[in-house]
Amino acid sequence: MPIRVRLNVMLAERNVKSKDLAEFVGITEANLSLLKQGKVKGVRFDTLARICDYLHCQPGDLLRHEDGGDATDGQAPAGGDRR
Amino acid sequence: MSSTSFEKDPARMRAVRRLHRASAIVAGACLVIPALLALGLGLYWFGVEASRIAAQAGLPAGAVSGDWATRTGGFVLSGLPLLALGWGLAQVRRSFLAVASGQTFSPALVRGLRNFSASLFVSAAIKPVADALLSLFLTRNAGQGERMLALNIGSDTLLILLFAGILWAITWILAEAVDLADDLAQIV
Repeated sequence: MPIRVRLNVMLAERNVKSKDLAEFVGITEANLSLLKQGKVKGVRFDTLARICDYLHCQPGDLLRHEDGGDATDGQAPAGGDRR
Repeated sequence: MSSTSFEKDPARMRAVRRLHRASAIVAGACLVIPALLALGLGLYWFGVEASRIAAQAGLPAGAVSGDWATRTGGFVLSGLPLLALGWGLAQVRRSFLAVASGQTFSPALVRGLRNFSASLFVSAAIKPVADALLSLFLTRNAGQGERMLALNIGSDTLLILLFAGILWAITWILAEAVDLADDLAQIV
């Protein structure tokens, strides 16, 4: 899938710990890790809203659509198989 | 699994806990009932008078001898449908144990229910055959022309076959639900 999750980049730019974000959003650290790696099939709007609230950013800052599906920022494509 | 609004809803969580408890009870029943049925069958074949066994099998009084071999053979033959059903109950027990342990939608649930429906079908289908074999067996020592082959297909057998088919279809739908639940579990 050509959707790239840039959550890692945003966390690094804002110097925020995954644990703190996971706690604020109300998801487990394991699920946040999967989201960072793009190994999820979707993101709920309320999850996205909470992340944006915490990081003071827009959904577009977290997600990128890339033709061809090649990673340009080291992030994994969304929807990867986590099983 | 993500922390969802579902998991934060106390009413839903209470319902889920009730489901877990009910599943644990059903799983226990799936263990006890086949054992009781087997015990009842044993008590019947080794405790009841031969004339009553003959009457129950639809045979003339005196057609059945009450010797040990006849009783054992009768127990084995009439136990065949129960054996299939017992296997199915053991399979569905695993399903309910999975639900009781929190795996509400899992491949194990589908597999167990599907095997149970198959066992119901097999049990109902072999019952007339087992009954026919039983009548032959019980009258094996009768004189020529007095041996009997009793065929009995009742509405209960047909209803169980129908029920097994319906259950099979439901497990098919459930398999789709499990796939859907798996997809939903990957949405954070």
